[in-house]
Amino acid sequence: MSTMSSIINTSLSGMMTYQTAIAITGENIANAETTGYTRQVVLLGTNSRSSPMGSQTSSGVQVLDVRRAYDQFCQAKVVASAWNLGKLEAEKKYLAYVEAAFDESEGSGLNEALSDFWNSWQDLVNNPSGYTERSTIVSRAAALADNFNQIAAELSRIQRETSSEIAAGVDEINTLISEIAGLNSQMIKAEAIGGNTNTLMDSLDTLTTQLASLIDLNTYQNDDGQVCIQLADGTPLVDGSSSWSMSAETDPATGLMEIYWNDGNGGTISVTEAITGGALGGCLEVRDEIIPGYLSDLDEMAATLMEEINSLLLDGFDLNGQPGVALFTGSGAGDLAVNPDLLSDPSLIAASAEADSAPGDATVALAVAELQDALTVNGGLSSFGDFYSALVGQVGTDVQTVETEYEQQTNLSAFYTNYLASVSGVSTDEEAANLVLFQQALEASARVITILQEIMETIIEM
Amino acid sequence: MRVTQRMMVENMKYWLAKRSESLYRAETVNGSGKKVNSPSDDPVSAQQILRDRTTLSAYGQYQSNVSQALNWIEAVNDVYETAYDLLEQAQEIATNQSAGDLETRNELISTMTGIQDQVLDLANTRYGGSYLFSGDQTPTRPFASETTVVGGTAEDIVFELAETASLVEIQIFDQSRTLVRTMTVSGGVAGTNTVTWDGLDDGGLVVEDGVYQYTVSASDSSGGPVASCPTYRGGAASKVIIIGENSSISINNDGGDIFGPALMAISQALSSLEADPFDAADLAEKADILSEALSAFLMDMTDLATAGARLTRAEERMAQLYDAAETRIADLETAEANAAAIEVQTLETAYEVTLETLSQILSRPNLLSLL
Repeated sequence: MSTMSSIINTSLSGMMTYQTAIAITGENIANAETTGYTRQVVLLGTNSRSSPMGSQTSSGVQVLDVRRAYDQFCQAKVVASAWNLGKLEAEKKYLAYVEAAFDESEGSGLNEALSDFWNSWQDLVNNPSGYTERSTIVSRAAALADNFNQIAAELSRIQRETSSEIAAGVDEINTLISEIAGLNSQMIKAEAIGGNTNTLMDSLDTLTTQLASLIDLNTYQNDDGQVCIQLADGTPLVDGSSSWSMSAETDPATGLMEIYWNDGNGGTISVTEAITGGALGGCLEVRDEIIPGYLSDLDEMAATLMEEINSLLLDGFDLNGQPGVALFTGSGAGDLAVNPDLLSDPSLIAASAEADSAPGDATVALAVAELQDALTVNGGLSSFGDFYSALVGQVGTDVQTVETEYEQQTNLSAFYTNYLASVSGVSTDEEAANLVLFQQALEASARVITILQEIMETIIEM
Repeated sequence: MRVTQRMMVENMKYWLAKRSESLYRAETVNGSGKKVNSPSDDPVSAQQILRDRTTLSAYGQYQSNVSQALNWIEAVNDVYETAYDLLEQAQEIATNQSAGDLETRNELISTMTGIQDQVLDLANTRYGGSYLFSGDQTPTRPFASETTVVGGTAEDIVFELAETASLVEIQIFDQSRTLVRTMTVSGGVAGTNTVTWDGLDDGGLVVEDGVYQYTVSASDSSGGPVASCPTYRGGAASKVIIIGENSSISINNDGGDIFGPALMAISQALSSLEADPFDAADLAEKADILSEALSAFLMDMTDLATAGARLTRAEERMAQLYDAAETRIADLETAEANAAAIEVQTLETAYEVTLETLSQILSRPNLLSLL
């Protein structure tokens, strides 16, 4: 049998419980637009009490749990998408610069310069004892060398550009790491006093996702519910309340930024190789894999051009019957230049095969002109023009591939984000409905007390 | 699936972003008039376009080579035709029966000398700063009886003789036509002869540096004249014209081949006319030699015409290939104007539809406002 006091207690528990429920609902509504906020679901359960007789009686309602509406699997997918997307975004950005370096629009690029260069040799074949034709060859050669230099210089510049992004990224990583460690230690304290850790966990998720957009990482929760983070190769960044920082230094030998992990005792380990995802991973991929590939192709082309032409000219004889000189100096695309002797005296260009047959014999000039169609590059498989157009095609394909993968990844990221939002997002309509329900339940409980009061008065007046 | 208000809005924002990107791309194609604005738009086409541009440039150059060569051939042909006429005249003189008469003969000698000078001039024709018939020694005059003295050292004196001579007299003149040295050489062979000059004048003094002209007169053992003419000083190579990939035409411009026999034939006819006593039978023989020279000349002219025809055909073919390459580039590169404009309109409409959907979502009532 219920006593008065037990009825009051029951109703009171109702009022307090529904008050809490309204508060939680209010919090959900307030945070409907907050990024990273996971809606909280109030779990109600009966207050059960055992009587002196051993039977269970119910005595009102209690809040069993305020649970985050959360999907661990989906969150993990969101984090993984973040570093994939971050990587592709960075690659897309820098590859756009690379594509611009190979500007062949309006026929003004290296392809045109190369054609003009070969044409000037044919004009020399038409008039082997000409001075003007030699002068033209020298200026076309200079223009061609300029084109090589410019592309190589731009590619190197883009490599160095990534350095500032890497440095800024490392700074942000360090900030995030220490914030996460800080939240972890708050988590322990909050759990110790039995407080609500939902907001802390929301923040930890948000920070982890932010971190993932910068680098690829392993993340797990330890037994205390703290978030632990490692680099992809297991190097620890956050373990409970402890954290380690990263740093970025320019390697004097290469002029490029290297990334280090600090062990906390003054020691550092290079972790550049370990980072393959996130914005930093994307920067490194473009800087250390993609651009060097293009540079080496350009270098191969420049070096072969230089070698083939110089060896023909050195065996020939110039306008004055003297042995020919080299046309190009340098070692690759970056430093290809015209022999300075020729800049001041183009007559040194050899066209003839013998001293006796100079200057009217065009044999050497003809041999150089025929190099245009000779298969000299790429182990004797391509002509210069074909090699270059294939390189440009490759750049285009690489950019297109990254753009396609980026599109696909944005779709995938959107899918997981959407799914997570479906589970964790606040629906103001839902919350409004709950608000009304809880309010009515609160009023009902209050009403019980009022009725009880009336009964009490009736009894007293008897 | 549980869908929140926010999800609906985010979804529409996402599609709005995608639509605007498509619109941006289509507008670029429409505005630039090009389908391929950067390699990533269509890597395969981009590569093909570059290759076609290279081809186009090459064809342009081949066309230029051919047209330069055709001009050159025209110049050479003019020379050939004039020289041929002169040779014909020389042959007529040599077969003229009235050469027996002294007065007529003197006239003929004068005419023949004139022909000899003219043919020599023709052989030494210049074209654009070089000699037409010098082979690979284009700055060197093909036929000249001259020697250069530098630092007291004189170039060798070379000349052609029609047959063996027993006595050769060489007279060396300076720029002002003053005789500075007379040399007598006993013996001379048919063909090229080389005589060294020590650079001294008749007084035994070293002559000044400069260019000196010389004349040659030779006689045989019976005192009869031996014809001489200048030796070819040029080179042997031919003119090369590139008309295509690994394809070129050679045209003979070796003056020695072309004019040597003709010059010697004229010289022989001349010395036969000048001989004292005059021998009509000998002149008739020289007429035959002139006939041979004429035939050889005709063959050279035919070769030239053949080369010219080949070049003209190459020129026509090149023009067609050039047009084809240009068309191919245009096809790959140029956006079809109407299609591009329609694409922009279609995407604009799609964008507007997405905008409308978003605005509808945003203006939907929520429960709180209804309660």
